Amino acid sequence: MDVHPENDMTGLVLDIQRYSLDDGPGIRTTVFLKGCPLSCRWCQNPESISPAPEIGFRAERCIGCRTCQKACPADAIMFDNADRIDRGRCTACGACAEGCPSRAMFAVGKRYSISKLLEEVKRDAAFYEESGGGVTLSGGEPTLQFDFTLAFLKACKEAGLNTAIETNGLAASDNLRKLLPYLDRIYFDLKIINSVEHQRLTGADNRQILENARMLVECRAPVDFRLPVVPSMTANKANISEIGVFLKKVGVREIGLCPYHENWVTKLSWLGRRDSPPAELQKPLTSEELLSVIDMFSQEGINARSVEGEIAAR
Amino acid sequence: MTTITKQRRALSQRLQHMRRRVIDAPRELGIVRVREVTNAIRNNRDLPRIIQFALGVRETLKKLPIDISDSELIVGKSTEKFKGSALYPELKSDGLIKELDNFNERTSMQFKLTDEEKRELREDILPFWDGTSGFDKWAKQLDKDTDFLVRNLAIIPFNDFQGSTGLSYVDYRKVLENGYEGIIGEAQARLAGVSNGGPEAEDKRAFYKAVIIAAEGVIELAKRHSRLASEMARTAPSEERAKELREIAEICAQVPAKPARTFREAVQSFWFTFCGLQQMDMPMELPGARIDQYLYPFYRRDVKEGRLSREDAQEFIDELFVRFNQVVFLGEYVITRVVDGNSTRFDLTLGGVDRDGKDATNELSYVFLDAADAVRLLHPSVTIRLHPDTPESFFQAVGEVMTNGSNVVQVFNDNVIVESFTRVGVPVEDARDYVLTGCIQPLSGNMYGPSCSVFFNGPKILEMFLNGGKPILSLAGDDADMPSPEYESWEDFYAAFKDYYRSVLERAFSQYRLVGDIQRRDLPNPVLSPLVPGSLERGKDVKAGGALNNASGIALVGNGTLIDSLAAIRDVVYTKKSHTLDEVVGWLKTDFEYNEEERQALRNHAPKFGTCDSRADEIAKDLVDFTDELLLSQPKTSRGGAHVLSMHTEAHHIYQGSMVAASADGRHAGEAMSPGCGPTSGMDKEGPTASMQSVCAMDFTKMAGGSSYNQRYSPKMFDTEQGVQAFISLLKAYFFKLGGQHLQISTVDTETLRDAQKNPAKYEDLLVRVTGYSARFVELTEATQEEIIARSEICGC
Repeated sequence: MDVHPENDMTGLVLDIQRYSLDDGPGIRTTVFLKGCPLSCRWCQNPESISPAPEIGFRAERCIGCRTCQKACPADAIMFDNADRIDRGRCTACGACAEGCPSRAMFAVGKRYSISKLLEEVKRDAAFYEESGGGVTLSGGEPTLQFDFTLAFLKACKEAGLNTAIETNGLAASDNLRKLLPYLDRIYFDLKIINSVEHQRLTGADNRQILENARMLVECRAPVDFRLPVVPSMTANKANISEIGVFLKKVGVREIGLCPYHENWVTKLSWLGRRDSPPAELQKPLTSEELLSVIDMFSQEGINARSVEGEIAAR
Repeated sequence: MTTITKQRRALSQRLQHMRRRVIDAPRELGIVRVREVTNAIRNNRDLPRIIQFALGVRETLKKLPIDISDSELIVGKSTEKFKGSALYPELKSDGLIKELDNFNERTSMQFKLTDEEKRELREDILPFWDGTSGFDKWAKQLDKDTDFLVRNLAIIPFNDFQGSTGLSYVDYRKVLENGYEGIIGEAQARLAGVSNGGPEAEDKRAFYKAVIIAAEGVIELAKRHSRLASEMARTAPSEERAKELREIAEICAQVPAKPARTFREAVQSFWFTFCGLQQMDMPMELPGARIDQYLYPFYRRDVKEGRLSREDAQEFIDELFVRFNQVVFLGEYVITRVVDGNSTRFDLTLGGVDRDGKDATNELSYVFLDAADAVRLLHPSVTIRLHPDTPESFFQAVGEVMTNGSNVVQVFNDNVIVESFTRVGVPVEDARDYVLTGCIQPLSGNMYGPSCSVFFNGPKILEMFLNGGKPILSLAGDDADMPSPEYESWEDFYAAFKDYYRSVLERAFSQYRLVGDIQRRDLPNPVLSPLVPGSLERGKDVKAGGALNNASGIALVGNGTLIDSLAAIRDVVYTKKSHTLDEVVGWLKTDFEYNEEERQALRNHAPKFGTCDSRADEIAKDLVDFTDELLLSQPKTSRGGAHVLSMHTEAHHIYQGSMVAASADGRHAGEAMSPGCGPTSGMDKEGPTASMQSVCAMDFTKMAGGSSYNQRYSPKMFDTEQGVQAFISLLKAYFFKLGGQHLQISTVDTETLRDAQKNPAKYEDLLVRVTGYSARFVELTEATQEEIIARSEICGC
């Protein structure tokens, strides 16, 4: 049924989320591409970091039928192991996930051709049209699969869809420039200005990121900066003041805030990870914390607002 | 992005008090009506049935004890009790007789009656109806094969003996503009014009006489209130109240006998008319119709002439909303299950296009919408008609009320409904004048049309098809272990299934014609008929086909479950060929006892309706097209109208589901089936846009009987203006781009519902939409509560 033109490349897609309201104007479909050059300690989608397919396991769904064990060609299913999967042997071929009746085993990352992915996102075209919405590419870091991202955005534009991207900014400047003609909106994360801190908490240097941020503003790209508001890690006085200074220097007076949610922590066990994040990441951001960040920005002369809407008084 | 501050308008002190009282009051049985109607028949054995009924109604309205409570401005009740149900054993008496001792005690929807009332019913009134009610007469004619289908709940073809006959267009304008004296005058003139001789002329004469007698009854009810108000004014506790009572006396002297002169008289005239209509046919689904339309001329004139402000009008309408809640209906045990939590549907229809196709939304549309939001009681049901030219401000107001957690309104798409009626031969002007009745049944202008007369249990039919024509699960002891059929291909299988489905449906129709004959002969309605255009002109009761437009309908129950089951069989048996049909049926027979692995695979890997999966959606579309063709090919109904298809379930999907064996979608025996026309609860995992597109694979212009489509949202989706606007866009696209027919949402999160189960006292005000109606969550049975919790919570995460 699928159309596969000869040169139709594929990308590794983590998830496709429809009726997405926080990733740009209107009703949107957000496509999460797998793979990220950063590994932020607070990453709420740890399954998006690795650029390779993985297998997840949700123990609470398992009915113990052992279909996975029979299906696995690598002999990587261990029923006496709480994680169930011997990650050293697993090749992430997906045979276990395909056979698992209760979806306890599931593939993390699925390959899509451009045409197939376009077909998926076009399903909600009627809703985009009515609401001024469209497609948002997110991740992981979508520019990591650059050729796919470029081709997909082109295809979206040819199909008349509004497009947006969510990027952490760690990409070759030339690559970002190549995407610009096909993007209606760029949501650019500014996480930490201090390069040592950035290196420590995200695992990467931030010079390229800041340079790209400046470049996008200079070439008048439709860019909105965003800050993941993570207790103590990004939401501290020094960082916010430095972000404020940076923004003013490039001539921007606004920033969107993405409140931290802690509910990703359970996902670690699905990936067989035993490590547990530091205590400050195990609780949600409170509305007071968010309000104080907004306040700190306003002292810097920056208008900050939550991308999820103001905290509602219920 | 702005956060919405959800300020709910506070009711006036007076209405807060009235609202509290109606919530706290127990349901009671009123027996004056059944006493008088029964006596009228006993004492006038030689008169035609329609005159017997009319005499009974007139006596009831003459004798009904009346009162005017403290601060009310709208007066009149349909029974002698504060919150009362009349009894209608002429429709169906067996449940009343059997359960008489139980109405006080049962766990859901209790009704109070005194020992003396119980004695009178048991000894004097109900024996008269034992074996002679309309239902009894129908049941006696049941053939063996139909009885088999009925007792196994494959079809329920006798809904017209349980209140669905209230599904009628009602022309209240006629009373408001001409008064009941005008109706009597018209009937007298037509009576005088009936030419001599012949049984038809006799019928006509009886009809006109009955209309006159019943109308006299309604006039008398009002006059009695006028006299009472005058008396009470003399001893009123304050001059202010005395003045109000004198006004009431004056209003009740005028209406509904004579034309209404003011907005307030028009509201009172409507209310007396409504109370009168309650005297026949157990009209628990009788519509208030397009009340923003027929009251508007009175409103506009009063405002223009300085007699009325919008605030005054709001106060009257708020009171009217509270008053609706004093009319309740006793149902036998089964009724409390199938309409769990709320048996009454008094629909008010707001907005939409007029008879010429132009937008008809007016200031009263907003006043009524506001009343629904502020009063937040179960009744009346408020339905909003939307079309592409609905003013944006009304869209915004509707979007706001739908998303604020009040859970009291539903919306319909004019484009689809109008076309669905013109398709079955209704003139376009009448089609545009449609009103909502029952839960979700549209009726065109001038239409009499019980459109949920037959409930058709698709998953049960499939169960029997898979088991050689016998049920796998049967409370009647009909279950049997039969060999499953064998087919070479999906096409052969599906064609054979449709043949079987057709045969059951045709049997249901033939039964329904019998029901119609009994309704025509034994259960005429002299109160309703003059208010349904066509009936007076033709000298024919509505039950005999007097209305200008006629329809009756069949409701498919468990549609999503049926689609998913068929899609699963196709996938497993005929596409992947991983199991034989015999194996699959074997799992169903044992309720998957040894096949949890297979059950999980069916649930998680087979195609599901509601996920935009063409393998399920094309079956959905085909079943509607097929049923539609079947309906169009049927002979006309006993009233000369069309059979129309509807897809709403009330709580039938839960009640009937409890008697359906395991199904091939991975559902366990006895679990709830899918609600309304939508996907199985919890199976629409791709979000609202996917679910809507699946649902719209069905051609809703082929569902003139209406449909109910439910979604549940987390309140946090609507914390922001952005969330509300996205919802309004979603609704517009669903209606005007995809061709959706109906939508109702409950805005409540799972956590709240779970907490309400544990602490019901904290949540007595929490309303939820079941399917086409609202109910108090804490009053629902556990099975229904669980089904609502199982609905996917749309939370954007």
